[in-house]
Amino acid sequence: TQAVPPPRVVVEKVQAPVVVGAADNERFDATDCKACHEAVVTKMEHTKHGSVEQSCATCHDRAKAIAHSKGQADGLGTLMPSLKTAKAKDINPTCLGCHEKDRQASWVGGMHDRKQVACTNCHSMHSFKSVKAQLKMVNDTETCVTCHKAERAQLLRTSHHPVREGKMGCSTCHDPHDGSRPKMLQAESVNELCYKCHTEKRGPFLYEHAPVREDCTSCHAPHGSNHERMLIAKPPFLCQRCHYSGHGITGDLSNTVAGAPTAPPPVGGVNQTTRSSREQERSCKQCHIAIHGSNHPSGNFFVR
Amino acid sequence: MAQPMPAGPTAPPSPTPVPTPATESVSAPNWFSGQATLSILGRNDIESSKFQEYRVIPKGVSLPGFSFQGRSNGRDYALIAQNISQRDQRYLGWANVSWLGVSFDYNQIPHSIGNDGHSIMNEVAPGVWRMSSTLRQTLGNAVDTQLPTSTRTYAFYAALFAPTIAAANLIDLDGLRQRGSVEFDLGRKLPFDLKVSYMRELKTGTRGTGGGLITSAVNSFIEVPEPLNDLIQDLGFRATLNRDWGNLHAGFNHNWYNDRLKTLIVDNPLRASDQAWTNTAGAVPPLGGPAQARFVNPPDNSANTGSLGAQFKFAKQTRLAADVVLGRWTQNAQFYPFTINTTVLTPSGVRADSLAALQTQSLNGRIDSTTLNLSLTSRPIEGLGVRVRYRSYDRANKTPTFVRTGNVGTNPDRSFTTVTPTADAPLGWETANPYSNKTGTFNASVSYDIQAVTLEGAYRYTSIDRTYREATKGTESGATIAAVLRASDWLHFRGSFDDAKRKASGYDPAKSLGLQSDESERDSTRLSLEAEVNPTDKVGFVLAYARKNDDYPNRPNRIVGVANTQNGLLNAKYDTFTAEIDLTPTERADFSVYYTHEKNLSKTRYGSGAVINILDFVGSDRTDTFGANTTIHIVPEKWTFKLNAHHQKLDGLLDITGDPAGSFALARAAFGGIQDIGDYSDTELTTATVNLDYTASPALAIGVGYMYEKYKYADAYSAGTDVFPAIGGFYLKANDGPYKANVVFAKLTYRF
Repeated sequence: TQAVPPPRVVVEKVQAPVVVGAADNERFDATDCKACHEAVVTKMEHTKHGSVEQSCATCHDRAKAIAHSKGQADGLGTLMPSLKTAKAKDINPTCLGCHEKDRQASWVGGMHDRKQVACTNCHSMHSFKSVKAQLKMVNDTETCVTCHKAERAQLLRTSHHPVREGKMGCSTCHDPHDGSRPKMLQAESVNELCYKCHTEKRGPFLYEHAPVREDCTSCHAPHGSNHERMLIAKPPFLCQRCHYSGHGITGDLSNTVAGAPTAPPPVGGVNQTTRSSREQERSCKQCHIAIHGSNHPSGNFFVR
Repeated sequence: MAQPMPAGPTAPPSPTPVPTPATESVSAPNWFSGQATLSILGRNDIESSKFQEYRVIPKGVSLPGFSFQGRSNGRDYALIAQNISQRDQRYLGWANVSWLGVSFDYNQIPHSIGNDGHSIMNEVAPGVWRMSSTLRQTLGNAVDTQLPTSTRTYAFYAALFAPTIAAANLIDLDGLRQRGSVEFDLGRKLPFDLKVSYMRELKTGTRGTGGGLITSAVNSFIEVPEPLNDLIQDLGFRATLNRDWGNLHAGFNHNWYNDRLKTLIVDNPLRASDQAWTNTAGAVPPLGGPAQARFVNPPDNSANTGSLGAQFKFAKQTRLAADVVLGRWTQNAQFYPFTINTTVLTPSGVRADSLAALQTQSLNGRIDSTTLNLSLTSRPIEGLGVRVRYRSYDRANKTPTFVRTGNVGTNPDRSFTTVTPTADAPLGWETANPYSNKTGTFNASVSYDIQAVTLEGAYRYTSIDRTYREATKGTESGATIAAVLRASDWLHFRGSFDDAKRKASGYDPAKSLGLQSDESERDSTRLSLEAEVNPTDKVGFVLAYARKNDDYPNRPNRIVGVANTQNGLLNAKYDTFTAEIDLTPTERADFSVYYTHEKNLSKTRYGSGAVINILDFVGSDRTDTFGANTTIHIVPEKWTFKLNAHHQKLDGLLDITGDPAGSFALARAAFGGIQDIGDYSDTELTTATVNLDYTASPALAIGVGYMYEKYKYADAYSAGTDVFPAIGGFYLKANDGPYKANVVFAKLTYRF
C-alpha cells in the first residue's frame, strides 16, 4: 500500500503555555491542552472524541493532566499523563467506559482481552492512519499482521482472497472485538460466514456433500494457499483424505511423471503411456464439478 | 514498524486519515480538507492474468484517489474515491446530521482468472457453448470407425483433434463483483441505537473453469468458462438498548440469492446428435451418447436470520451474557430434467429429458440453524479472572425426503440407472441423505496475575452429533495453559500450549469405508511462543514460533484385521517461525525486516487389497518469506524515500513411498521406480516498490516510483499438459502463470 501522506494540520506556534484551572471540579476541555499540543489535539478534534466534553481528561488522568499543565507552566517539566506505557488492563477500562456496547460489548473475556491486547495496540487517538476506525496502521489487515505473522506470510500465497489488494480486510471475516464467537468470526459458523459472499453454495441442495456442509475449512485455507482455489492440499490427495475407495483412488493413478505407465480413463482397456487425466489440472473436480452440492436430479455424484 | 502488504504501485493512496463519524457536536469545530491524486504509469506488457488478478495496473494517466471530508455546523461528511473509473474502483463515504447517519461503500472487485484459454467451442448465447455439427459428426465417425478399440491410442486422438485444437478460440476467464452497501443510523435521536442496512452485489463474467464430464462412447470432459450472473441482496436491521446495567440487542437479516443464468450447456465434440446408447457385451464397441451436456448452476436461495440477546454488567468486571440466533435457509428452484439427451427413457418409458419424468419438481429445501451463547466473565478479586462459556450450534436439515428411484447420474446423459435403497442410503444415494449436525461446547478458563505475569488455564469440552454420517457422535476435550509476561516496556512474552483429543463413536468399525478425516479420532497439539524485546527506543526484536500437530489414530484398516493398512489422512503438521527487527536510528529514518519460515506436512496412506501395495503420500511445503521496509526523510517534510519489498518462495514436494515389490513400484521399474513429485505447486513471488516523494508545498506533492514484481509457478500436474493431454479431455489452459513486471510511475497530489 502507498504511504500515508502526513496529516495536513496547520500548526501555529505556541506563544506561551496556558495554565488550566487547578481545581478538580473546574471545567477541563481540549483547548486547555491545545496550546501546547496543537497537532494532536486538532487531529483529535476531527474525530468523535473531539466532541466529547472534558475531552483530554476523559482518557488521560485528570489530576496528572492538571499537574502536567501547571508543571509545564512553572517550568518544572512535569511529564504528560501518557497512556503509551500503561498496561492493557489499565488502558482498556478507560476505553470501555464509553465503548463497551454494540460490537465491543463482548470484548471482556474474549481472546484478545485474555492475551492482554490493549485498545491502543491497534487504535490511536492522535496519530491514526486509517480511513476508518482510527487504526495505527493504514487498514485493518496491516494492523492485524503486526501480531499474526503466520497469516501475513499466508496472505502472500498465490491462491488468496483479495486482501493484500485491499479489496477485503481481516475485519471482513473477523471481528477483533467480539469474544463471543469462535475465531472471532463475523457469523455464527464458518460456513455462514463464507455464504455471505459465496451465497450460491448455501443451498440446501438436492444432493449434499456432508463435510462441505459442516465446515468449509475442511478443504479450504481462507488465509491463502499454494494450491488452487485455496485448497489445503492438492487434489486428488485432498479428496483421498476421506475417499479411499471407488474409482480413481488406486495408487496407480498417482504418479504423474511423464512417460510412466498410468491408467487413464478406460478406452478399450488399453493403458496409455502418458499422465493420468485424473491427476492433471483440476483432478477429481474435472468431473465432480458440483462438489459443494448439486441441485440437478442426476447430480448424486456431483457431476451435474 | 509496519510491513505493508504488496498491492502494486497504483494502490489507491490513502487519503488524509479522517475520523469516524461523529455522533455529537459539542463544541466540535468546523473543518474541511481533501486531496486529489493524478498518476501516470508505464509498464511492460504481461500476458499472464495473474499480474492483475484482483487489481488493475493501468497504463497512462489514471486517478487513483480523490477525497474530501469535513464538518460543518455539526454535520459530518466524507467521500473517498479510489481507482476512479477503473474496474477495481471503490467509493465510500458518510454523511451525518443530528438525527440521521448514512454511510455507504461501493466496491468493485475484479478477478482475472486466466488469459487466452483454448476452447474448441464458441459461446453462442450466455452459458451455451457450441461447435460445428459437421465437425462433431466427422470426429465422432472417426472414433467409431477406429477399430479395434485398442488402436484408439493417445497418438490417434492427438492426430484426430490437432486441427481442431489449432483453430481453438482464445478466451479470457474474468469475473467482476460489484458490491454496494448502505447503512442508515436512525437512532441518533432515539433512546436506543437503530441501524438499517442494505447490500446488493452483482457478480458477472466467469467463475472460473467450468464444464465437466460427458459420458458417451468415449468419455470426455470439456472445460469451458463457467458463466456467472449472480445477484445477492441483503436487508437488515439491528437495534440496541445500551444502559449502565448492560444492553439488550436484536437484529434481523433477510438475504436472497438470485442466479440469473441457470444452466451451462456444452456440445459433445464426438456426437452431432443424440444417439441411443448401445453396449452389447462381447460384440461391437459401445456406441451412442448425448449431443450435449447440461450442467445446472446453483439454484436461487434465501436466508432469514434473527438474533436476540442481552448482556448484564455487574461490579468487578462481571459480565453475564446470553444470545440466541435463529436462521432458516430455503431453496425451492424448479428442477431441470434428468438429462438433455432425447434418447434416454426411464424404466416406465418416459423421456428422461422431460420434467414429467421427475419424481418431484423442486426440493422445497430447508435448513434451520440455532445458535445459543451463554457466558459469564468476572474478576472477583484483584488479579483473578474467571470465564465460563457455553455455545451450541445446531444445523438441522428439514428438507422433505423422498426415495429416489433412479436418474441419469451414474452415466450422465447416457443411460438411466435405477437405484435400490440401502441401510446407509435409505433415500437411494448417500448424498441424498438430509445431513444435520450439532455441536455444544463448554469452556472455562481461570487466569491469575502474579506481578507482571498472567497465567491462564483453560478447559473445553465439545459434543458432536450428526445424522447420516459414518460417526454419528463425537466428542472433543482439550486443555490450554498460557502465560503473558509484560515485564516492562522492553519485554513482552506470550506463550500457550493446547492439547486436545477428539473421539468418534456411533459407527461400525468393521466397515471398510470407515470414517472420513473430518470426523475421525484426532489428537491435536498447539504451541505458540512470541517474544518482543525493545531494549531501546531505537531497536526492537520479535521472535515467534507456532506449531500445530494433528494425528489421526485408529483410521480404518483397508484390509480388515490387518494392522498398518490404514487409509486416508494420518497426520497433518504446520510449523512457523518468524524473526523481525525494527530499527529507528534517527527520527528521519526507520527500517524493518522480517523472515518467516513455514513447514506444512500431511501424510495420506492408502492401498488396495494387499499389504504390499500400501502407499504413503507425504505432501510437504516449505516456505520462506522475507520482507523489508524503510522510510527515510531525506529532507524533513520535503523529500521522502520509501522502500517496501517482499519475497516468498514455496517449495512443495510429494514424497511417495511404497514397497519395491508392490505393483505400483513394479509397474514403474522400467522408468526408475517410484518417483517423488518435486514440482508440487511450487511458487515464488518477489515484489519491490520504491517511492521518492517531494512535498513542494502544504498543498502540492509529487512523487516518482518503480515497482518490480516477479512470479513463478511450477507444478507437475499442469506442466507439459497442452490443451488435451488425455483422451477426450479438453483443457482450457488459460494463462495464469509466471510473469515479470516492471512498472514506473509518477504521481501528483493536490491537497485542499
